[in-house]
Amino acid sequence: MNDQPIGAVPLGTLLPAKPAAAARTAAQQQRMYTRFNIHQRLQHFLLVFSFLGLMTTGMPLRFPELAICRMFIGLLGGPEAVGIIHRCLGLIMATSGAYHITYLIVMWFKGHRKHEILFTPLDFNLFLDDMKFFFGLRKEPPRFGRYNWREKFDYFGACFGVALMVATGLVIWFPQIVTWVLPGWTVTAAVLLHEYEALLAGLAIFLSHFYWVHLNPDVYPMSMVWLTGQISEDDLKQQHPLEYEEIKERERLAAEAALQAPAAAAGEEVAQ
Amino acid sequence: MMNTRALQLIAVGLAAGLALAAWARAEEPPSKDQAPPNVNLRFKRYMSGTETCLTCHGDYNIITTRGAQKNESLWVSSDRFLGSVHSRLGCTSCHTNIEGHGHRLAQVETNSTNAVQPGEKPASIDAGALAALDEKVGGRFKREPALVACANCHPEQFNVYITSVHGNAVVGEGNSDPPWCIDCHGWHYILPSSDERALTNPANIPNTCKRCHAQTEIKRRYGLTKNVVETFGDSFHARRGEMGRGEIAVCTSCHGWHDIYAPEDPRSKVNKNRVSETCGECHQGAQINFASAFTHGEVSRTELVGIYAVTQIHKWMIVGIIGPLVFLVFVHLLKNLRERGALKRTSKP
Repeated sequence: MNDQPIGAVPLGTLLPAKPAAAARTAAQQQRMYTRFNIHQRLQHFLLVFSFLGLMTTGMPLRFPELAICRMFIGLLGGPEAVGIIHRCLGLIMATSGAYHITYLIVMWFKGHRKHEILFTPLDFNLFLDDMKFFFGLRKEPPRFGRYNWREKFDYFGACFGVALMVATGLVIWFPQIVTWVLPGWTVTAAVLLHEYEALLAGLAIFLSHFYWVHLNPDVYPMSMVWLTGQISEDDLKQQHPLEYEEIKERERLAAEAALQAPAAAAGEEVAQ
Repeated sequence: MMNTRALQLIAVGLAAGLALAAWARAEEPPSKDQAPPNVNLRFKRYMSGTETCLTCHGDYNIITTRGAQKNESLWVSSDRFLGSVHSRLGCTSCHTNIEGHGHRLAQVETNSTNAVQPGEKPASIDAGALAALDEKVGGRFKREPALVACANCHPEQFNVYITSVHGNAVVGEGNSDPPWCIDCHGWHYILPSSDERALTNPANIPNTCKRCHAQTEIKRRYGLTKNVVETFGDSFHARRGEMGRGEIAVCTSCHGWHDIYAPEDPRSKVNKNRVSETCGECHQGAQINFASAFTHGEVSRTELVGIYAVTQIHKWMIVGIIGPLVFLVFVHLLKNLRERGALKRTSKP
């Protein structure tokens, strides 16, 4: 198939295609739904860019005893240069966080106050159903809405992570100023927190998030939603059935209203 | 044709990159000028009697034949000695009294221009302290005559040293454990601290201090802080040192050189009254709280409990979150592959 990326070949030849997944290749012909708008994609892109950069500059700074780390530091122009790059990327990560908060505030004033990403009591049941499905105690996968429990977990994990990394990073960046008011051990604690949180975030992203959006055979080589923001009708129906039904219901109501509106307008004209 | 806008962008990007690189390079310290070894030294050596001594002591096989240190090597590497800072001085500048050590002919010439004559003491030295030391020495310790020899030419350092926590124990209490001049500077092969091989080179200082401060027995005997070496190794100072290039703070940067005192001593550089000044040498605007951010304290259940709690909570968060996440990935992958028939046995027996 010519429309498959080159990287898709190795795993594609190893794995027999799922009958249902074979239809995905014809996704171009399907109707596409907007999953993430341009602001959300930009925020995510800033986060991806800064995260990968911070990981690649932060790890050598933490483990200079490894020869490969020292080599990498030399490649980037020495410890001072790596430190400067790391701080700049940290500012970009902080920018993505600030962008997101601004976005939420603007959306609030525009009247968009219901957020699907928030955890609800229903999520606990969905989580249990999902576990049952995972371990074969249930035939059908649970029916998720716009975000499943794992996506919600990822989102709040990222929020917590960015807030903590930016805060502790600033403490390490300006220890003299911080210790004007705070005791010295806050700096020591900030350093440790920064390290542990980096490890936690790195493991979560590379081992879990990268699986679900890249290596997962259902989406391999990559789910394009983060770049295009579009999701195909089949995928939406399969992964977020409740949202799909909501959209369909909304469209049906809108169509009915559109049908009735000309009639009502016509009725008014008649009355006049 | 490439459009001009893209070219402009590339040019600006390159300029910014170069500026960044230049800035990063600007902080590199100037290379230490290392004087080439003086070739005439080999001839001057004849004047000081060094050659006479090395006739025997330059032999790798020379050992003591009697006394408590029987079979101990008496070899002095002539190459390494001539490369040291004291190569101009003759042996007898320091070994002022060699009679009675098996030397029948003790009439060694000491007419080197730099050598201090035996028995002669510079006026600036603390004469009382040296006299007391001379009295105390009395051949009790092998090392003490060496201290007197150093003090002959380096009175300022000696006068500071004898007040320090190390020197006071050695001179005042006659203790043989704490370091002397030669323990930190070396014996025959003393190099300037700018030399990479010198024991007193900043890069080697942690290893030099470690020889005593990492010893369990020494730490127990004098109630020293336990993990000074390990906590320093985990610090930003040490990590920055491993990256190379540029000066870093080592043990002596904060604790002093010859003037090391106990932290409770008001003269100590790490005393709470002086510590902000000490940190301020590198970290402008450092206050007392800033100094306490760098601690040799052990993070454990009994010490630095707040930090210990933070690390434990985060450690268990990593185990508790990453463990299930990875487990789910495995389960999903296996399930998915099974559904695709990828795990079915293809060959039948």
